[in-house]
Amino acid sequence: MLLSICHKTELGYSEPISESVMELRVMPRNDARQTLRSFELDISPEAGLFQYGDWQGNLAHCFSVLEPHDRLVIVASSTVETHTRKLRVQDLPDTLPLSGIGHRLEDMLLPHEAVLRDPRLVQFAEQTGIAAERRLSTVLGVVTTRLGELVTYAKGVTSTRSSVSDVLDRGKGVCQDYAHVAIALLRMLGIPARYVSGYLYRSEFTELETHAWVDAFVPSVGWLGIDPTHGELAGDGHVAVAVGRSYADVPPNRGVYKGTALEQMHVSVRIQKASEPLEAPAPPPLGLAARFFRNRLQRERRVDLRTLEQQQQQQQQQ
Amino acid sequence: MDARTSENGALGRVGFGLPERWTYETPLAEIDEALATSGEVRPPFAAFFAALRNVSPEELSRRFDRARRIIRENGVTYNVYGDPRGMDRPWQLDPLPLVVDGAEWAALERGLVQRARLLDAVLADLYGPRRTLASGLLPAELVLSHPGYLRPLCGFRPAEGVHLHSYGVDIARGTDRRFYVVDDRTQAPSGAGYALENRIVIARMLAQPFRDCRVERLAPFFQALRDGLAGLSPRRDNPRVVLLTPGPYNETYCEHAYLARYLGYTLVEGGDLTVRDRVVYLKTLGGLERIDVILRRLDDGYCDPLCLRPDSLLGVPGLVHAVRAGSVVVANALGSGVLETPALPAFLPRLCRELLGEELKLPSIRTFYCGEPESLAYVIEHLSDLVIHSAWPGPASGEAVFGGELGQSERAELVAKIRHRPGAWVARERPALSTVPVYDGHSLKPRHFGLRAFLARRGDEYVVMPGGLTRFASSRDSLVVSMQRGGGSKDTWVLSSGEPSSVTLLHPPGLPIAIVRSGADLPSRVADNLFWIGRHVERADGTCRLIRSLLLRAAEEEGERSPEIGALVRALGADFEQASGIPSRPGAPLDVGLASVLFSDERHSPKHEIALGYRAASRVRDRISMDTWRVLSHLHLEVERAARRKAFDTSDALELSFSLLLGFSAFSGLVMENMTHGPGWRFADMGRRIERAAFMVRLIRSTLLEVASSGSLDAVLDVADSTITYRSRYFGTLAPEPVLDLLITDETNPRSIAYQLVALKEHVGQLPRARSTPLLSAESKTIVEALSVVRLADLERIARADAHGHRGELAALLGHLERALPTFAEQITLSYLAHVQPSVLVEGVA
Repeated sequence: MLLSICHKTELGYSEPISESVMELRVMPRNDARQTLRSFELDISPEAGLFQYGDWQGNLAHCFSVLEPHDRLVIVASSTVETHTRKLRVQDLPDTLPLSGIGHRLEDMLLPHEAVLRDPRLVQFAEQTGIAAERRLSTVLGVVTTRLGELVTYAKGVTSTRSSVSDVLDRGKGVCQDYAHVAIALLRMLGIPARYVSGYLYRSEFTELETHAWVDAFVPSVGWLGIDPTHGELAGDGHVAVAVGRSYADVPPNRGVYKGTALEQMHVSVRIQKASEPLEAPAPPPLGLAARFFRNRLQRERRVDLRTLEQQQQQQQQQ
Repeated sequence: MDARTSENGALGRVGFGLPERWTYETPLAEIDEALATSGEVRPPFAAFFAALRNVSPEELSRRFDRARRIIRENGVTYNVYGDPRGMDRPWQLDPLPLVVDGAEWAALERGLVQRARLLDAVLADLYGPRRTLASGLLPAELVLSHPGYLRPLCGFRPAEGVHLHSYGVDIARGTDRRFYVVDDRTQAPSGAGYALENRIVIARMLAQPFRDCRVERLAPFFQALRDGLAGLSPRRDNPRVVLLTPGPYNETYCEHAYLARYLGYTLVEGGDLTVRDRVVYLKTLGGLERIDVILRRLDDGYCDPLCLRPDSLLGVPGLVHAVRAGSVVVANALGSGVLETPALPAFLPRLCRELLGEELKLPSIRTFYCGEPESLAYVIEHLSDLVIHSAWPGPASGEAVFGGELGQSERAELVAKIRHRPGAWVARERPALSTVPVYDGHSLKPRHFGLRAFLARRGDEYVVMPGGLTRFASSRDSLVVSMQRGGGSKDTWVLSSGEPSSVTLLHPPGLPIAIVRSGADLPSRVADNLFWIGRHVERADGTCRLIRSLLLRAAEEEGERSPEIGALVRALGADFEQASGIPSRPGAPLDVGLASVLFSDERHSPKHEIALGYRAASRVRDRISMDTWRVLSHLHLEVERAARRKAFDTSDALELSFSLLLGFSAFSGLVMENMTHGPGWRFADMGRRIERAAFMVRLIRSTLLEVASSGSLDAVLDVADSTITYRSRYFGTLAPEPVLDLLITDETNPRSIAYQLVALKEHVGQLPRARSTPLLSAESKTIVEALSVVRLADLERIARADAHGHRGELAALLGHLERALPTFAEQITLSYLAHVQPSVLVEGVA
């Protein structure tokens, strides 16, 4: 499927800030499962960009705006062709424990940031029978379709910093949390798994958004995308942007600025089949053929000087 | 082993002339550095005590007291968190060095150099081909889950392929008298600066024994460090090296400042640096200055909030990009902290064989990594004999646990935690430590000790500091060697093997002297602090002057209070009138209230201002001369000490005010005479001038505005230190007009308002301007205008009073100045110091 994506991030500040430095991970990947046809990145105010491949093979962009500014707009537009893989999970021949996993996949077997080991996952694995299951296909099936027993979909309960344990405590979360729980489960069972950030297009959905799912490593086919939030394999509506050990490796944007201003962030994503003409990236009206999703966020951050002092202290204690 | 009595353990026995009371309490370990089990003094210590023979114990005590005072006044401190004395606890130094035999040291040195080469090779592999992981020489989990294994640096080969430029090794001596390694410090080892300070103090205190013992010098080590770092610069000519510190709240900040000054590097905090187009610059008053090499004292992860730990407030956003672009070299290379794990020693013997093709020369403490099944089984079985550590550093890692000290349930809990994730745990044998004699002021006591050795990379070789930082435990039984836990430190003397040539070799001729440039390259943060030092000290000075005059007058007065005193009390400011209770209790003794003003915690009290000035100075230690620092430190100590005293009468208060004023004069004199008159000095002086002018305005307003209180002309002249000038000009006749001339418009009187304004105008004209424009800057305009108002003032008119005895013209003049001075201070801050702002992190959402 040929998809056009427009991902717009607007940052507003209560007073002018300076020396804003940002790192972006917004360019869709180019791999066996999808081909990047075009990509464009616009930054306002204008800023010199440079790009580099990170250690996971994601392409990151970095820019800095030095002079004072109180608004920053980042528009990433891309066209991606996704390829469907004729594959049924139940046909996978692989059995556990997996063999032939090189040390390079070791990273995807270890806890990382939000992806913690949690005793409740051990319990879940025992209850669902996957703890002792030998067929990888069965394990993947359970992890993909049954996380609803642990987590109910709900927005605004968790944050980007919530760990697997936080999510299990609350029993609620969003796609990112489902992905983290699934990764923790898979790694616990010795299956390398990685976090995928990207976009999802589905014609029957009224809302489209930045999305997160999971790549599980299956020796017979390589990385296999599973989407535990929707309980299915990642298909041709899934457009991968970046992969990492957990969310912390691949936030779409991360930056630092000087000043004490408050920040407001507003993210919008539009995704549509590329045969349809793509609207200009200016604020799109709702209800067009193109699906439009708004994710409004208001955050307040003040620098905590106590934190600064603590960090100075934490260095190299003798 | 039999416990030796203090009699036969007495060092006096070996005849170096110490009297009976100089005894060495029975050493408790099987091994002591000074005494052999036979009771004989070991050769290196015998040489030392022989050299000490001409120093009487009284003399040693006297010199030691002086040495301690030097330490206190030099401000050699070590921040101890959670200590009631808080920041800046004086560095604890023992007068007797640890003495090590030259030949023994040479063997240790070979082991240290090999270990440095090995660790550097391991780092090169981990950030390169990762063969050690592929072949299982290092467990993948240990490395991959280490927060110091920085993925953004994977695949990057630093300058010359070297990761480890500066390396610290914690060494102990076991019961078999072999040295062994307890810990490796591979990212930003601290302590070399303290070792140097210890050496300077002890070598001065024991000058003759130091020469007689032919102790190896430390300077060549620092020279090697300097040469090594300079050699890394991507730009060959005149490389700019900075020392990056976390900041003044760090426990070893004092050392950072000291080292920076010693090595001739600019001391910078993360906020002083900025990355533009993948090049690192220092933000200075004069603009951006390119940086070539960064010697960092920041932990790996904190160095770049953009690419590494996003929560870091200390780092430089984009530093990793600059490093990867090769425009700047960071030493040690980012990511070298990955080797800081207590598990490492378990794998070194094999790594050494595989990577260097050699046997490991220097053993380590016996270590078991629980990530390996056999080790896990052993650890659980022998838990009570072992010390359990988290495999990785970090806030969650917690303290080491002594297995033997656990109760039944604690033990079970720990075992469960280890089994939950074995790869996160390491166990080590309890360290066996030898003891060393420590002088507690009365006698010598045995204390367990550890030695931190230091290595620096120069070109292809590692150079070992001959000596190091010896630290000892705080009590007899303690095995914890930590300055955080109240232990102390010693100088470390390595006795030269005796060939005089080696000494000359260690002193290469033409040792370059660090040239510290000053001028426009001044970091804005430093200018900000200097500005505030000037302001705080001058505020304290003004208040002190007032209080001294008041105390002198109060002492002469009995009963009724003159209006003159009331006017001077008003000049102290509203805060104090209340604090001292002077106006509300007319009958109360004035002096008691005044004395309390000196140490009140109110804003603007001398105690408060001195404390703030001292704090600002401690942030720019590397920019302040030792003498200036000593004066400030002395002022701070004196006022703090006085504030703690219970009874305090007028004469005490007077004495204190005299003494403080003397200190302020010394400070001003040093700033004026000893500081290069570059931008740094200008900021310090501007701070002073602003406050002095403000003080004069306040003084004149409260004393001379109303004719009714003109009896105070005399007092005003006294406070303004202008009595002599006045008398020599006008003899005894006091009149408002000449007094106002002297205090406001006379540009030759260093206390007049006009004098301050002229000085400020001169400073502003000399400051570097970022944007050159023919127009006057805002701050120039403010000051030029204020100066014209003063210069154009008609003395006769400002001295004239209306029917109510009110000097209206004077009030208008003072009003103008009261607005202009704070405006000026604000404009200076905006133009030059504004970017001294914190950073904020923002992160996107999924």
